[in-house]
Amino acid sequence: MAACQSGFDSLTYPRPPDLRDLLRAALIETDTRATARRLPQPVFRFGGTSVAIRLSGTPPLERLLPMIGSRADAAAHDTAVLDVIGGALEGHEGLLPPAEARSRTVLRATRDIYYLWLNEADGYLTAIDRRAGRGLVWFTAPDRIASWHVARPFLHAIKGFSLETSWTPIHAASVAIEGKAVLIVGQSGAGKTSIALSCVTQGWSYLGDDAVIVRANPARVGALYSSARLRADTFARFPEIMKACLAVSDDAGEQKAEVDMTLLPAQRAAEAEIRAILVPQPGDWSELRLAPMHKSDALRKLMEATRQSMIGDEAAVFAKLSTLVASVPCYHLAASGDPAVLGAGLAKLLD
Amino acid sequence: MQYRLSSSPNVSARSFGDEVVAANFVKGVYYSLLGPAAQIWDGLIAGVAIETVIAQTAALSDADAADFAAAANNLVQALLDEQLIEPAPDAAATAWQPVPGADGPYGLPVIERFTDMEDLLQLDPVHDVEEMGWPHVNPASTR
Repeated sequence: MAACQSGFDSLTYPRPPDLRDLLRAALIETDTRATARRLPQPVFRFGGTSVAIRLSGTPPLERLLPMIGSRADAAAHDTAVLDVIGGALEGHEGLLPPAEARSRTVLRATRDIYYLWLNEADGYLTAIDRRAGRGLVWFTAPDRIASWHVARPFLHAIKGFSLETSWTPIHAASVAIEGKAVLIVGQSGAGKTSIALSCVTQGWSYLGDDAVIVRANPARVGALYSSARLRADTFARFPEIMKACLAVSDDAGEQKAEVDMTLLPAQRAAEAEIRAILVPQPGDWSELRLAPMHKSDALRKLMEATRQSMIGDEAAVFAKLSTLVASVPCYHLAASGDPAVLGAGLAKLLD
Repeated sequence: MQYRLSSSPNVSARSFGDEVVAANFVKGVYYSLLGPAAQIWDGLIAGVAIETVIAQTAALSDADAADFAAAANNLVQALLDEQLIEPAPDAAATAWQPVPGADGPYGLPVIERFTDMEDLLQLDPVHDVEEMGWPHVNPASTR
């Protein structure tokens, strides 16, 4: 009898639920919620991809929307859907890592699923069903959303949705003139924001200071966000930019001015051709210096900087970025503190 | 002996002609091969026998032939130790010709190893799981 019962069970339940099953069940729940709420769905457009954002939770979640760089109100037919959950999603806690694993970073990235749990602000999950074009971002404590989420919302979801496209989000700044851009690559504190905003004060168009999306063949960069984040030691250098400061946040003990670039008369660009990749050198330089660098070094810097904030799919990202680096000149940049010198010097790279 | 790129999904490499970058994403280690090391890499990945690769690349170097061969064999051993390449006795060789150095004869081949990301990963190790969920560790993630 027991054997018969066991056989019946295995026929009905051929395997225990896996992450995709758990995610799909949670997405059915969020579908139900969204249908009941009938709220408008702003659409986040990036690199040829459109994602409809559906908020489901308490009001702090709405802080995530203003800095989306390219937004529309209507979803196209092929738009992916991202549900953003704040607080509890009762009955679906099994999608979260078990309690003993929540102090760690947990990742599952395959062609089918992108699953990332980060131990910050009481926990934050991004889970994307790549086959279905559906996903969710789950803030378990929405009143503790980190300031960088407000400045760069849904960055991991963008990564999750972009695997099968020719685009990939990266950790870099970018500014452009007349559709031709430079990409400024470096880890946090390398000077990306200062260089980009110095160029903006000289008439360059702004694409981003920390996260942009790129593709190779042709080499192009797209804006993701309208935000900029200045470190406290640079506030005095950019008085005009600081006029668009919405707040000063505490980012892991470091003060950051949260700037909304849409409030400034400075131009913004949605997309541009990449004409050069720049890797800033540390130090306080009195003059602008550009020195060609090995492509292998540039690719390594690009991968390391991007891996710092965007985990997973490394082999696919490596393939995309290596093709990009192969087609664009790469330079070490010792940046002059004079914005006019910097802007004029970098403009020569666009010819 | 012939070799090929590691079959591990965690290893990738890209040749830019006169330089190569390789990476092991799980270890967080990146490798740079310049000049003669890049030529040797390209030859190995093309499936050419190591003896041929070393002989043809050494001909573009002004280093002593024995010194070059020793350095090249050390390089290949390092690539094996780092699990960037693996033996491929049945590999079908494709066309390969080493490219002379743009700045004159090559010196000795060396591999550079960069561990910045390794340190970061040790601070915040990523726990890769299988789709079956917790607490199954993905065995492919460990090499």
